[in-house]
Amino acid sequence: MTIITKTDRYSRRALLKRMGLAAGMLPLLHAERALAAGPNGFPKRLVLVTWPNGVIKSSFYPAGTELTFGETIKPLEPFAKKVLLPTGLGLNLATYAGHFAWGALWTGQAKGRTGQGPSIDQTISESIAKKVQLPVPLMNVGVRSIGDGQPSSWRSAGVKNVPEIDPVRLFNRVFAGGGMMPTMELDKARATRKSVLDFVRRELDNFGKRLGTEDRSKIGAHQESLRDIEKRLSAPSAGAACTKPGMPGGAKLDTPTMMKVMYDIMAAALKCDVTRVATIDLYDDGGGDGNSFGNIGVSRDYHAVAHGGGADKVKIDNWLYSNVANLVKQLDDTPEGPGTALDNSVVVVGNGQEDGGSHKVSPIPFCLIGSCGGYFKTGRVVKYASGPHNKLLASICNAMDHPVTGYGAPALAGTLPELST
Amino acid sequence: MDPNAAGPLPLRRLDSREYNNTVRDLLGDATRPGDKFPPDLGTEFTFRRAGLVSSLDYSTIEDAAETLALAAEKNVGTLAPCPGGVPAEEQCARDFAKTFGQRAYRRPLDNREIDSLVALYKEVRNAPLSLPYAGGIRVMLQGMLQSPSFIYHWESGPTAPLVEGKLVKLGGYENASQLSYFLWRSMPDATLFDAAAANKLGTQAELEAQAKRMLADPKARATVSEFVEEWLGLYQVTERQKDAKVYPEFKDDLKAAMLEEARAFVSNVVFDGDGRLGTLLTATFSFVNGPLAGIYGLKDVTGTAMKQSPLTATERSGLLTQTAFLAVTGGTDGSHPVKRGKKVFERLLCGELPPPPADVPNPKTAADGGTTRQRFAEHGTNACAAGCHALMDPLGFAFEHYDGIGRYRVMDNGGQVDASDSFEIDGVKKSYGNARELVGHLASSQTVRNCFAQQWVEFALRRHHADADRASLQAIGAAFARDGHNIRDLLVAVAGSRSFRYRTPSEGEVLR
Repeated sequence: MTIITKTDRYSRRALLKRMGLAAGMLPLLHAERALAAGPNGFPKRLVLVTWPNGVIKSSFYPAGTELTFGETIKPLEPFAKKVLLPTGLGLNLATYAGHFAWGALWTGQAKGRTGQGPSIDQTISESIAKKVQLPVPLMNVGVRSIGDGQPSSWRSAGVKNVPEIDPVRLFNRVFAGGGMMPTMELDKARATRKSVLDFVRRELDNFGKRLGTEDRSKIGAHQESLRDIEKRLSAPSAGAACTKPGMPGGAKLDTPTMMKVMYDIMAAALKCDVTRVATIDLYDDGGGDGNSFGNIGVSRDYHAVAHGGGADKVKIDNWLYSNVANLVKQLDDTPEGPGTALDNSVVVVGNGQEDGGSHKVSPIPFCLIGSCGGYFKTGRVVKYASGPHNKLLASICNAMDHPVTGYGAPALAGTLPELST
Repeated sequence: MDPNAAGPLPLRRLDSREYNNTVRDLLGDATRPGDKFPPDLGTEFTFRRAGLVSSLDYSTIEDAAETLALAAEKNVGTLAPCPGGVPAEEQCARDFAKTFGQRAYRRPLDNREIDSLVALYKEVRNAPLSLPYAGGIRVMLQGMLQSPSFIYHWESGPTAPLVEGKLVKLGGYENASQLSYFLWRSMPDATLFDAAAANKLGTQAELEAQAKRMLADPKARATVSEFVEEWLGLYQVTERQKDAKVYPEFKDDLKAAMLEEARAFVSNVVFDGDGRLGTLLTATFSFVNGPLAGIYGLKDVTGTAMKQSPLTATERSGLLTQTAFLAVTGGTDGSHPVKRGKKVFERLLCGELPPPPADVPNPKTAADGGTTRQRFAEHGTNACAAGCHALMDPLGFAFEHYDGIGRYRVMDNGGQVDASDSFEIDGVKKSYGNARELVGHLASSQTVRNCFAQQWVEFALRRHHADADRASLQAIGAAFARDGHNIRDLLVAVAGSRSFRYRTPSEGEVLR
């Protein structure tokens, strides 16, 4: 499959013509959204995937200079030409080794477990929002349970993007508005919400006046969220032609079903251009205590397995990668021009640790799938002796057309030009 | 130590449980909409504490407000009656803002706040929305339930704080809410509001008298249970997964029974029994139903109802030897001395562990042979033993007579169980032969009593204790000791303490 390069500048019309399709056949290309699309006429998308406990190194890293697929990343082998492993990059946390690195993973700066700036998904979604209004500017999803630790996504220093763990609510948020309510009712509900939001804004403005600095910043975060909700009121809804994934019935989903449902909703949202930036957290940043994997015959505790390593750990990682492959396949099965939706995306799998036995945060087993519209040269492994992962974050920003020279901690500025040459 | 000091009172918002209880008491709505909020139990604080309002939080709060208001609209006749008909409607809305608003915001509203609510009412009654009266009331309610004055604990409202020296003295309405959310985890009742309005809710004696009254209410039982569940992490038992090959019976009914047992036992000791911490830690009875009887080896208990039953006194001694604690701190396929020891060290002795080192080898599995203790002992002799495992493992080994779901055993993986060890408690090395003996040491330890009291202070104030709380903690400790460490006395003392009634102003706060 040809990957569209930057020199192929198709207009939307030319593209449709080339594909032999009528305009109506491409529901995602609303005229307005196409404006903000990549050079090939299709939008670029970013997906960040995070889980704990590192990998068994020998089953993840290629031994030689060629890209090979050990048991851990075996599920990605069908997409071999679209996989990029930048190895050797790690979290530069001088004072901390151990669990709880999610605060630094996508922000590039943390104090203890707390992110000290926006994560790249936040930054990139804001950058996109300046060009186009999407129904869901940033989709934060989690397959987690009560009492879990920090998320991987941060709105700003110390302010978390709390991931949605309820699949029904996520589904409704992503696909609501599509004929669920008569238009007049919908307009009324919207107008009422608008009045209430205006009232709440007034009250928040007054409420914050007496408070001390730290408390005022809490109200600031609240105000910021209110603005997000306001934007939703005027946001477009998912196109009618958007194919919704099926939702399983029943009250409580088991983890494997939950995982599949969440990835499926995410895939549909990315394909329909409901969102262009999505982040998913699996388990927690502390080791996933109390979880086991009966579905693949690993009934011991995730954290204990991670420390012990061995075949069970590989089985778990392989299964987690098979879920990534499910998302990747859905994107790759969606034709976009001469390529696929995957070619216009980059799925980045990160982790809080090097491997489950050690508590080291460097190097991190990063795995990229998709060239992001030809920005990354995939189908290979690029080995770095060492280096801060901040440079990878910066390169991802650039791939997503948000130009930067560095990301996170200023001292760790720079990019990874080797990944695109 | 400054006897007049008090700690800070950071702004915090209703957690999901407070939200559920508050709308139950405010609107008679028992649908528990807060259960859908993002989780507010995390790793940063032992007890429930809601985080900043993220976009997801905001939309769940908005959804809850809409659903609650829609349900309440049906009762508009009692909620906001308007006998005067159409000409009186705006005045009725104004009265609603004032009277209902005072319960929703847990303090009187000033004119701006009332006007702001009335403005919202008028806006939706006018074109283009043109809602009827009941709809206007519904939208006002929708607004109140999203207002920061409802969502946050800041019951001083727009009035200037009462500055007393270097501190701020909480006002009557602040005390009413603080007391109520501490002991009932909900909004104040009419008696508390009346006391606040009459300026009779400021002194230590006044707060303690109210606390005693409030402890007699069933709502206080739920609170004490909530404390214990979060203190020892027992609430996690219903979410725990175990190796089905090793513990096939660890299913939903058994998990639920374990939590029910803990709740019934705690409620019985604290409210129907002598109320003492010692009894909580050493009692040889519990509450058992059919599924639990198998774990305890009791033959005559059947059915799902919890029945008070004596346990085998040579095997059990209090909360730490009951199923919920042992299952939560147990491993998925066996006991787990490290997890059990960690919980005792951190939550009973208030010890602090250093962060885990970079390289931690793992204990062997049962398939490798040897008892759990032999396998974990090897784990503890590695390089990190001195740093951390010496603080956890000896405490955890005491529980080796209990498997991963709390069954008593004398043999483990073919070897004899050895649960003896020693640990420094109150500065003295104490030896023990098993968990019962360890628990005996803990039950008479001053460190444990102080630690327990300190965590109640943190539960009440929803913040970590600070240096400024030392005088309060000392006074609370003395009151706790008065009658053999009765937990009811402890709760009353927390409610009357200086840290509860005063606060240090926060940086940048407007004090005039």
